[in-house]
Amino acid sequence: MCIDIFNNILAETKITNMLITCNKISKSYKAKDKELLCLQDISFQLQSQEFLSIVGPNGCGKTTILKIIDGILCPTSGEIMYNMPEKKTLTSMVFQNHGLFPWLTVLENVAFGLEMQGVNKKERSERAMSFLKQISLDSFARYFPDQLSLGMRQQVAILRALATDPYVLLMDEPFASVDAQIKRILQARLLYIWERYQKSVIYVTHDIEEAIFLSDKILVMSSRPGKILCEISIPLERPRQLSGEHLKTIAEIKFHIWKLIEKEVTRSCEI
Amino acid sequence: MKKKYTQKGICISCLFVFLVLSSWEFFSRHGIISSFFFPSPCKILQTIYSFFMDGTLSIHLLATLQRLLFGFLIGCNVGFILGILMGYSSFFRNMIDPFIAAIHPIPKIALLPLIMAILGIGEASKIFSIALASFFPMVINTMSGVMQIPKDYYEIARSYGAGNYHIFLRVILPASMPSTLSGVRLALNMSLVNTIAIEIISAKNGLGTLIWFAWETLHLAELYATLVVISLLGSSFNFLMQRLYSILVPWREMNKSDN
Repeated sequence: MCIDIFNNILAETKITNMLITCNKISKSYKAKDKELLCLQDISFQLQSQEFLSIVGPNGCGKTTILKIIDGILCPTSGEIMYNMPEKKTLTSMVFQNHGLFPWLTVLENVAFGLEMQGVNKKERSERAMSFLKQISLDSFARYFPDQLSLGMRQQVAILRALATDPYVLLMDEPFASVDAQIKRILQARLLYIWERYQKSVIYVTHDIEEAIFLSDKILVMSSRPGKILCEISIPLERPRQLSGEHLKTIAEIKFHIWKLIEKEVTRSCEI
Repeated sequence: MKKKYTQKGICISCLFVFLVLSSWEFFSRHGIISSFFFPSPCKILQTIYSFFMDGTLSIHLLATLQRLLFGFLIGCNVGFILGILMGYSSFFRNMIDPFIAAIHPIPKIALLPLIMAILGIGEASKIFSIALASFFPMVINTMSGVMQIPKDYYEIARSYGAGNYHIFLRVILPASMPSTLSGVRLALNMSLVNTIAIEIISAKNGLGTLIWFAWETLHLAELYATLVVISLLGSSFNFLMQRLYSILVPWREMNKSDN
């Protein structure tokens, strides 16, 4: 039954295939008397089950894009079209620095989105538990976030977003605070989750290599006001290796992107 | 907040307390210090025992506890509700803050005559005065607890679809809980202080009157006995608050046990 519905949804979305269409989104803030333009004419499309990354210098408004898509913020102008069947949760966000509630246990944190959807306590605990089992964190269910390592917290934060069963996961530099080795493992687990649950992902990062390794498509942004400099498709097949031919392509793309944003980064440093 | 006791530390404490008490006992019995001003610990214990047996203790202790708890509960609840409102909305804060800033520095006991003039000299004025004393620490701590909640948590909760009910229950209440509880603890201490003071000034019963009566009749052993009871009362409040803290703020407790 469930699979049927899912296949129907899949069939429906296959027709148009575009989950989210952003059309000339701009966002400005009022700072003192000036209007501060943060995003300018952002247009892109997200396909079903696509892994899309947004890279750019600090303060270019990457996070703002995610918040606008999630509906926390409203764009000043432009429009977003969501082409998804109606459901309680269309998008769920994974926040920078995990954003778990320190006063809730790991289990309660994962179940938080379900609680907001009105799922009763018994069922949401069971569902949260099954998610924790997926990445063998079930033995930490009764712990509080502050008792876990950084890497574990990030994974719990991803599960919290995943548990609400959204079409799109919005991830705001989720692995920025963990060290490089653990980052590799977490990336692999993220890709596993992405394939296993067939989600679309919009992934914000300032790590170009990470973006290339993970994504189907990368949006490169300029510094403030944030504009999209270009859209790059990553042609590598999956699973991607950090060796041989793949490594060479990754290095080439990385160099290409760096050339694009070098000026921008320098500019954002000078401000 | 919670102290760590090592076995060695407990031994040292016990030994030293025993040493002080026994030398007090010795000096007092042999007239080296005045047994009138410093009756021996055994004499004090005896007095407590006889207080207990003839029912004096229970009458006065109950009277004190009753007005203390009534006042404390009223003051705490009003303080909590106002504290949440003031912490959450700057409108309420701007409206009420001047009054709090003006009245808070006045020692609450100084307001007692005014309160008695308005409410009469009965129980109502005493309870109101105690409520006032516990209101201020409560409202201030709850307010600052709510104000210190990082804005991110509201945003995260809202992004998962939380309405006002869940925002209150899942974010505001638990996030401000540590600060609120230290407000409760201060409020409890303040209400004990004020209850005793009020009883000394104007009451027919209660531990405070017992103190005053012992002074007037110069029964210093009774005075000491009452002080011991008050001290026990205060420590049991603190003990209860620590238990409450570990029940209501388990995420802070757990971390402590790890360190």
